[in-house]
Amino acid sequence: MNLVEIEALLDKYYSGNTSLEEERLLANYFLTEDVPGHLAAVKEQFVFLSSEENKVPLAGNLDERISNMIAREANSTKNRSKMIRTTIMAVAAGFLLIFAIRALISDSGGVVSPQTIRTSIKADSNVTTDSIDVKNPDLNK
Amino acid sequence: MSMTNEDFQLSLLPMSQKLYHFAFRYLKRKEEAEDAVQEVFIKLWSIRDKLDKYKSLEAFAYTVTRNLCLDKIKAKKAMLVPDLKYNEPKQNNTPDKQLEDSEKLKMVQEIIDKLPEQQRLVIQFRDIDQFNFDEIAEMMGIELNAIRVNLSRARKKVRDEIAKLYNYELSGD
Repeated sequence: MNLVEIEALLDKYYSGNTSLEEERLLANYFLTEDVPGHLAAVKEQFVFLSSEENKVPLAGNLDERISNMIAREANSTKNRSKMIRTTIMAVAAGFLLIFAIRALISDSGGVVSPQTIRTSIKADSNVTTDSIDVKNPDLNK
Repeated sequence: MSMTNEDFQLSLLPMSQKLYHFAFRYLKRKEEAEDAVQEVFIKLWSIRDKLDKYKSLEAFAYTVTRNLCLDKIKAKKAMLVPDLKYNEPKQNNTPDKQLEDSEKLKMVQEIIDKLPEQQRLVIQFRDIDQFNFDEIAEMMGIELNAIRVNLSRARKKVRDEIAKLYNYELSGD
């Protein structure tokens, strides 16, 4: 490639219209040839842009790190939904217990003591005479 | 349907190196760029069920990365000094020549660092990393014409600044 062709290509390069192939031609020319004084800055430019030191360094096992990280995230999401399920079940069980106790309270007219619970159990099993004794033992005296 | 870990990795992991490359040009340091890409993947994972509404997953991933990098830069603001030592200099030159060469590289690096952001990124993506225009358009989210304009300005500016530098050197003798 002669200097005239190079200059023409440079015009194209500085207006942002060269192809990658043409840019490689230019770089190759300026890295290997001695150039006249007015192109010294252009040569320095191509030397800089082609320098290995300016390349982006390779990332260290990035894919593996991302992959592990996503696996961890996926697991913690699974554990979280497990935890949510357990919590819902615990809350439901709590409500059930409260309902059961309230049912007992309304059965016994609002007062709950171990005695009335025992009484209502006995009443349920049709032990009517004894239940009076148990409920109000003082009345028999 | 929820995207599984395997689906997610299959469709997004191939992008990791390009995203890293992209992040590096913003953050200028290997570790920071790697961390940024990991953060991007966490973010993408957290919205995995909404990803199908994006026309181009790559373009979206670049947008997320760009925003994250800009946030990081803004947060730091403290001057980011380019990590010139990230690749060891070649050992095939004499020490003096090597020193002189690395001095020159450093000076041109400073010129590039002082360019406006878009010009700096475009000249690095094109003239150092050799991406084609379509790739650069997708990465930066700008039109082809804007790339050419920025590229032209950046190339001329670098050449002129180098010329100035050498004139200073000559007149200083």
